[in-house]
Amino acid sequence: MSNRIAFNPQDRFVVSIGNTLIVTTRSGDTFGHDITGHTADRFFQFAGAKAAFNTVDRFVTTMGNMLIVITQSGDVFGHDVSGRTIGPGFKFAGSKAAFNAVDRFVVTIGNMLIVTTQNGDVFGHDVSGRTIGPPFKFTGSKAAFNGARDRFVVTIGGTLIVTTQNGDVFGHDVSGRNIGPPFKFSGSRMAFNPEDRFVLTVGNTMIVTTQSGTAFGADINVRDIGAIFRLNPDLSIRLHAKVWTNPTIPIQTMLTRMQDVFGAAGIGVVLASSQDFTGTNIITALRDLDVVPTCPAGQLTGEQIQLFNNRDNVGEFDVVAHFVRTTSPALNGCASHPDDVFGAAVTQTASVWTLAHEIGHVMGLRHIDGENTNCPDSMPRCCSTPNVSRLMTGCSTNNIVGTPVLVQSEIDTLGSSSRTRPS
Amino acid sequence: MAVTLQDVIRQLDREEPDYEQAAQLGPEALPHLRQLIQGGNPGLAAKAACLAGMMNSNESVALLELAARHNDPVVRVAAAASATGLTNMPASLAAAFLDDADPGVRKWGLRSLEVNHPQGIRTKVEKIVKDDPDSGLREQARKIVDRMQ
Repeated sequence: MSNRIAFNPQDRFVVSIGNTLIVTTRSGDTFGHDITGHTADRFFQFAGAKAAFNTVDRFVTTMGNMLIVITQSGDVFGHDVSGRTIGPGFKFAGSKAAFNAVDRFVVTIGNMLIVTTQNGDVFGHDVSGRTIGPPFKFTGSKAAFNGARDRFVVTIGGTLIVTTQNGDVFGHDVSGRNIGPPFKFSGSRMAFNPEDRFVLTVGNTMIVTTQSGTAFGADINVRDIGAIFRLNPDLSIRLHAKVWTNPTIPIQTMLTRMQDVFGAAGIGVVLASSQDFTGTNIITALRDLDVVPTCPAGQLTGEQIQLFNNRDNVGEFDVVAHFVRTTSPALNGCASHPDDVFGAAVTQTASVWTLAHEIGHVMGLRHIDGENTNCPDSMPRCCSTPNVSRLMTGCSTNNIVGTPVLVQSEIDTLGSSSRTRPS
Repeated sequence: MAVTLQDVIRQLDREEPDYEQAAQLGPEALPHLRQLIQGGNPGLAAKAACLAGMMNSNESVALLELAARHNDPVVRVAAAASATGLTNMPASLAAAFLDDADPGVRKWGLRSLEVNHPQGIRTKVEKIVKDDPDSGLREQARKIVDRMQ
C-alpha cells in the first residue's frame, strides 16, 4: 500500500469530493485517498463503474457527490459517487459545454459549471439535476488569460483561484454571474516546480501533487495561503480515535496540530477510524477513568485495561487515542497502555498539543531535559526553566507558542518505533 | 519562601502533574487551590481539587465542598475522586457526591466510600442500589452496602 498520489503516467485527472482526493486513470479505474486534516491516507480503489477512460474525455470536475466528465465534443457525462463506489455513467441533457478548442479550464462553484478560455473570457452553465443549462458569459474581469504562465485553475468556496508558473496565486471572487477583479493571495507560493502535476482543493486546503507522487498542501484563509506542509510523508502513524467525550478543543484541531508537528519530522498521522462512545448504551464509568498516578509505562488499572479492550478496527501496528472526560488523578492525558495495544487517554480539558504529546510518549518519547534547573530536593521536577518550544515539555503544553519542534533524537526515536510504518 | 499562585500553577498546569511532588508545596498552597477552584479554568480547577484532596489537610474538606458545587462536572468528578484521599470525609460531602446528577461524580463518590464510611450515608447508598439509572453504579453501590454490613 502506498500513499503516493497520482504518480503513475496513466493517472489522468485528479479532483476531490468531500475529503476524498480522486485519481482517474486512462483505463477508467478510479482511486481515492481520504484526507484528514493535513494527511492523506493510503490509496483505495473505487468499486463500480469505470470513468473518464475515453480518449475524447477532456475535462473532469466534480459537483457535490458527482463526478463530471466532459468530452472534446462538449457532451457531458456524470457518475454519482456514493462512499467508495462510482455509479454508472449517465449523459446530461441540455447544452453541450467546453467544446471549443480555446476552452482551457473547467471548474465548478456550487451548481455552476465554469469554463475559462484562453483569452480570459469566462462562461458558465447552471446545472440542474441532470441537465446542463445554456451557456452564459460572465461579466466583470477576465481570468486566467496569461497563456502558459497561468498553469492551474481551481476553486474554493466562491473564489476562482489561478496559480501561475512562478507560484504566485491570484483569486477572483465570483458573485452571481460576475467575476470580481483579480487579487493576489499573500503567503506561500504554490505549484511553482516544473514537476508539480495536479492542483486541487479539499475544503480550504490547496493541494499540489507532483510527478513522483509526493503531495503538498497549504490552508487558505481568506486571501492568505498558509505554510506548506507535506500531505503524504514517507512514514506514518495510523491513529484510531475512540470518543467517550468530545474534548473542549475539537479532536480535528488536535489532530491537525499533531500532523503539523509530526509532519515537520517527516511522519504523517492518518486518522484510520473514529468510533463514537458518547451515547447512552456504553459503559459510562470509563468516561471518568481511573489511572495509575503519573502513568508509569505498563502499569494499568482495571479500568484502563477495560478501556483498551475496545479495539475495533485497530491493526497490529496502529495507535489508539481514547478521548475520555476525566482521569483520576486529574491529568490532561495518560500514555500508559497494555503491551498488545498502543495508545493513550486524552481528557476533555486537554490542551491543543496534548494528543501529540501523549502519542509522543506512546512512541517512546520522554519529557525533555533541562526544565528543572536548581530545583529544591523536595521538588526535583519544579519546572523552573520550561522550554515551551518543545512538544515533549514536562511542564505545560498550554504555554507552547507556535508549532513546537521535535529534535533529531526524538525524530529518530519516532522513526524507529514499531508504530511508525512506511506509508 | 512563600508559595505563590504561580508556584501552584507551575505544578498543576502540566500534561501529567506529579501530585505527590505538588503536595510538597504544603498548606500555603491551599488558598491558591481555592482560587483555582473558583477560577474560570475547569482543567486547573479540577487539578486543584485533586491536589486538595490528596493533601488531606484540615482545609481540604472545605475545598472539596467548594469543588462539589462547581457547575462543571469535570471539577466535581475530580473532587469526588480525590475524596478518597481524605481520612475523615463528612457525610454531607459524601451525600453531595452521591446526589449529584452526573454519573461520573456518583461513581467516584461511591469509590470514596471504599475508604470512608461517614455516619448516616448508608441510606444514600441504598437509594443508589435501588434507583440509580446506571446499572454499573447500582452494582458498585451494592458491593459497598455489603461491606457496610
